[in-house]
Amino acid sequence: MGARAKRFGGILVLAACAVAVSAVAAEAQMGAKVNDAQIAHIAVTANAIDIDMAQLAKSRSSSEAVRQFAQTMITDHTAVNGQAAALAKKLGVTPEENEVSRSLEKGAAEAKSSLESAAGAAFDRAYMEREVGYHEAVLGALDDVLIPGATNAELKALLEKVRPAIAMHLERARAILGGLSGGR
Amino acid sequence: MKRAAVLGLILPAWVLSVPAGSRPHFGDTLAEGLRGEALPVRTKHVVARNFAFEPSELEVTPGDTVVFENLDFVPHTITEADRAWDSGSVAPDSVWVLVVRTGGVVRYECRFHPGMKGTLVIR
Repeated sequence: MGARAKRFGGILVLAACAVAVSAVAAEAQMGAKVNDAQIAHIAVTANAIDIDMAQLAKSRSSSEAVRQFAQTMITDHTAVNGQAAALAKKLGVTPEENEVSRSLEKGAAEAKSSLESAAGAAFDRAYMEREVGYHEAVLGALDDVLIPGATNAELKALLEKVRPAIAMHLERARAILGGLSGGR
Repeated sequence: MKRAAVLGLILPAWVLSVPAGSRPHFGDTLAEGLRGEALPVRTKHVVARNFAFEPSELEVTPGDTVVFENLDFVPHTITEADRAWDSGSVAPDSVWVLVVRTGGVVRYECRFHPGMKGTLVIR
């Protein structure tokens, strides 16, 4: 694959990510409120997507820093989903699929497809750019839509507990991305 | 310097990860058991909470035991900044115990979340 094609692939990943996660904000702007069961499904979907991407990164990347970051994503987002599942069971709530979570899944499928066509340094850069964009968007969605929109106190508390993790992931992703060389 | 500041930390036997509920039972006896001799032990605590070490700076003296407790929902490590010693993965609601031996300033972080940083000032 040529350098231009690789760069285009990276842009596609970012674009798909941005479109998918910004759907959360768009939903709120359109006045279509998401209920707690839908918020739970959005959170679980967002975590599952990042775990999936991280598993791809672990198998594809030759960078120790990128692979360690990917392992942390797997560990942390699995833990978040474990907490979410436990809370849903406790509250007797079944996470409800919705337009936002479907949009997230569609965007993730496109992003993954684009990532799968990259290799070497280009893959590392595309994956880390995607992680920066994804965590920025998730942080924005938590602050603007999910935390304010949650009506159940325990769900709100869980989302607030998750927020520092997302912020730390974003900080780490930016640092790793800044340390990458080449790839375009 | 940093490697010598907290003597013996790299010994595997000094790494202990147990459920937080059992914390009261090993404060004094741990140091005795590990060293095979009685120590004038004082126990101090650091917690990992909301992806930060609290307190971020702790003053200790040689002989003190520092109990690190992970109150977050994900694993953390307590790792010397230059990797001279490392707790390994400390699970949620578990603790890791460190016995301080000599003086100096020791900086540590979480290897999984390097934004989490802390300092031990040993006098």
